[in-house]
Amino acid sequence: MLLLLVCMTMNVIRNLLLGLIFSASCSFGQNGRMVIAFLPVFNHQPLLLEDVFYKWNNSDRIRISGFKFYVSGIGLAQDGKLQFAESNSFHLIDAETPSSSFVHLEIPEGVVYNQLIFSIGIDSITNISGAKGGDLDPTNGMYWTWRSGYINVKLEGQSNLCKTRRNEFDFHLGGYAAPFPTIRKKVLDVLQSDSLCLEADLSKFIGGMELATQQSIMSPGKEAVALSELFIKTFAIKPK
Amino acid sequence: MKKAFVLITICAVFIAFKAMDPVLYSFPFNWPATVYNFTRNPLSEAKVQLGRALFYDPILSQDSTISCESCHSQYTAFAHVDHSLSHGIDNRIGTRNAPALMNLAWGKSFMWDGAINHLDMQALAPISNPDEMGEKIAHVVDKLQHSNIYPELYYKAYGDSLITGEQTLKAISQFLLTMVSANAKYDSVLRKESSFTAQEANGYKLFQQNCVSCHTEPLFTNQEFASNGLQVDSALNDLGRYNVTGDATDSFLFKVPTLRNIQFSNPYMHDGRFKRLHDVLKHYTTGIVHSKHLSKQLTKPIVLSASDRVDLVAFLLTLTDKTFLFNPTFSYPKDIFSYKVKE
Repeated sequence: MLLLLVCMTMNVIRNLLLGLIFSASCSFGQNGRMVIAFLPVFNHQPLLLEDVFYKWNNSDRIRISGFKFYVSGIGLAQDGKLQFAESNSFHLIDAETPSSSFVHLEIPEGVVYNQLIFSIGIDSITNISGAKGGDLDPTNGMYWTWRSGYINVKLEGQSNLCKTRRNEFDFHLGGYAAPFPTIRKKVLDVLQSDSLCLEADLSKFIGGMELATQQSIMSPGKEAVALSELFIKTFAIKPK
Repeated sequence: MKKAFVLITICAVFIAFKAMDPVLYSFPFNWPATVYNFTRNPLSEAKVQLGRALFYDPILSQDSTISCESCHSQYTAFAHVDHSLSHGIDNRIGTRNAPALMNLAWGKSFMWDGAINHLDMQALAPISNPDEMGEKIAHVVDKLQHSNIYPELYYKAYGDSLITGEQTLKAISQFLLTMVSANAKYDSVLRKESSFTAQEANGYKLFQQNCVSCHTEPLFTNQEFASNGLQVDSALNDLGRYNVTGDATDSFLFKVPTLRNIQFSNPYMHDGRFKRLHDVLKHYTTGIVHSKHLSKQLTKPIVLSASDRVDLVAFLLTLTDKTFLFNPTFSYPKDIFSYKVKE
């Protein structure tokens, strides 16, 4: 009982910390350094894992147990013309590890831009080039084992809408080969700044899904392509 | 422009080979270029030895009972003798025959259905399959980090005792890449160091007439996917390549396997249904089941007399490479593991 209490308290503290980090997040960056935050949120609030049931359509509830995705190919452009591209640009954003949301860039002086470019997912060349380290290391659990390829987006949780074992849903979106490539690119208009805050809003993502009829995607295919299209649309500059 | 690129690539590969320890590679020079890009993972003695230890160590499996070698033993050309389907932890049985391992540097894809696109990623499949090793690579790395021997082996190999998944997979690749089999009697005949008997020569002629379009020399596989007219096993109902592509025309297609060291790599076929080479030849001559998936090379019947079959088998036995099968550098690394026992 005491242990349970301690666990609960720890979770509360963690979530409080998460909230603090997210709210303080958009004030870093200096001297050619730039920070881009990819913040997992639910209806503009920092996403809380496990403990929170989000209300859905009045009577339904959703709980998120895991949410991870790859950001790659980060660049800055001026009116569509690329001005800066991060080299070896692969970042695993994990809602469980708040620090993973922040991507630090070194921008050369004089780079002028009004657009941010990034992709969600891993490109096909990287997918066929063998073992990689860092955020791409297969120990991160974002690589399929029974067939080769990165999982671009992993979303797992529970909802009463899912008539599955323990009401669970799990979406592993990936696939690099034709005809079902799932990497998606986004271009956002931005104001030049040393820090940019983006939201990946799960309420928009889940709002576009049909959890009552679709609870699981575990391999490449047209379903993964459709949800990848939906997911990229959920990214937006955080409202002030 | 394209020519220049090819030239640069050749130079890069050549430099990479030069940088590698010469005893580690003995790639036959009349063979095609390797598919594996050695510049991204140049062989070194310490990394090969690390990979060799990992290959033979059951620590890769959930309960430390199954190693790679359990289903890929050297004396059977790194296949699984007498077992039609692969075996895993808790006596679980898989759905396919463990293939022989050799000449993997030339492999375009791996597994019977080509589900794996790169040699580095191959080990993830058996490690994670619940019917094989039933483990997770992250947990394997954790176990290796806490073992008596591996931090030191990784330090020797990578100059860092902090173990990663990338290093682990690349080290396994390194060992597998050294497993080149290109020194069978067939090869020595091509090098004009010996000659076929009359029987073998006739067998080679028959092979070139009937088999070579799929079992292309020098690898003895074209690495394509094909249906070879086997009756579908209704218990397994394995759709093969379809499972990877989702394309109905790929149903029941499996990768054409190499025939090198075939004398020792029985049982044969993706589900290990044939025990003897004569069963295989009987299948190709009288057992083909016609379907819309059947390889077009097999639509016309292969006719072989009883003596033709004997001759063809005689030729297939010239693909046995004893310098590969009994090469001590591929065997159980006693030295590494005796150190472990001492501790």
